Amino acid sequence: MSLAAPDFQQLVDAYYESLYRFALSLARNENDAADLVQQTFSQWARKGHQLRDPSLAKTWLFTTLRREFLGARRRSARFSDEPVTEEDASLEPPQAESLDAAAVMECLQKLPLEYREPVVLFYLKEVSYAEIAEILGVPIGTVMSRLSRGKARLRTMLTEKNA
Amino acid sequence: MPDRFDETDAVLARKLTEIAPPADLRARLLATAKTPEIVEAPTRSGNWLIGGIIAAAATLVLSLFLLGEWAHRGEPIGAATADISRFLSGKFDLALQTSSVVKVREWLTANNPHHQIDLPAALAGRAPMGCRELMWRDHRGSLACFSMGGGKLAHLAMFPTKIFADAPGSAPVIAKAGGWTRAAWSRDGMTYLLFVPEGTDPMKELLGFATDQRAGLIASNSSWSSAFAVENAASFAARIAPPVLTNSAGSSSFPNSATRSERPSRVISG
Repeated sequence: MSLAAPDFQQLVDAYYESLYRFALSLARNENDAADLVQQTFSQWARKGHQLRDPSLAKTWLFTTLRREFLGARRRSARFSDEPVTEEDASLEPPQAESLDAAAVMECLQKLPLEYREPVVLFYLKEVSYAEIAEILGVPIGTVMSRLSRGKARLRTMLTEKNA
Repeated sequence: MPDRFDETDAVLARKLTEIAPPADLRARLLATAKTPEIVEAPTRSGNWLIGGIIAAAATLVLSLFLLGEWAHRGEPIGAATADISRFLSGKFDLALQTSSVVKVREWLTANNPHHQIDLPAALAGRAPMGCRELMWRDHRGSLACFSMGGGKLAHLAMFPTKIFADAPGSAPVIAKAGGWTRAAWSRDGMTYLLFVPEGTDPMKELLGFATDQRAGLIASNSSWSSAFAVENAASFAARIAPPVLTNSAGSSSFPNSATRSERPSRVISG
């Protein structure tokens, strides 16, 4: 049984918000994030029909957006990472609740890219661990270790921000 | 073993969903879907330097030849309208895809270093799709594309005024060609050709005809942008004449346009 090719508008409606949030975490800039999403769907309009398995559309979109970002990053020095502290801290749910969304995104954006990508994809809840591994092009074990370290670092930063 | 999704994770995930994309992003994306012919320009790689040198040499030889031929005459703007309207109806690339009007202005300024680029304010307020270089009969110009909403696009082509034998003045001249409505006007040595899908309403809206207020201009540098911010429609109307309307046969008033516009649309290239 083959799945029908997803309608463009259905794809936009299903994923553009999550893609934008992923893009915002990568680009750290609303305009660049919107451009990344636009470039991603533009690529889909050109090449999406070549995808043989329509069920892979979601992974294709996230992978393409990441590739667009990395391409832009190579051409620009704007997207450098910032150092973060190494120690872990515990962040309790009430503390997390008191943070606003912008503060959470700001801390995510400060994570080194290798941790930022899996952590954001994890929190977006759109893709499985296996799909995160596919999007990032790394083994699933690497995803798990980066996720664990990335979450710990994020909690440290959020705790400091909340202090 | 999968990382545990604990209560704190759930809170953080929910916080992330509170971040909303720009209000017009969805509409811009859907406009992209309706214009799949707009594709990203291929990345230059490998032998681009050699190709560039060969292209530059060929352009130089051709330019020297054409310089003699066209030294004393310009191109008919009717032919440009016909060729560009055909070009816009086909498949073309965008060198820069962006939703940022700031980036569009930067790109246009970088690609037209000898001219002051003015975007109609009503157009600059629209969501850009991107821009590209436009070569027409060996004249280098630029093209900026904007989403009008509802899947409609507006395209602003711009060439140095000196290439036209019959360049319009500051008053927008309206014509129709190939399913497009075109407004053309000149300012500061640059001639602008604005194309919207045929029908006068989008053009009226963009140029402010409906309210008899002319669209303001936003310049590509900050000082002009600041000046625009305090300029009202009345003061702008004082320095721009009312539009001149022509019919689609308006090109007949342009010498040679009947034959020259017969050239194939590929006279336009990237």
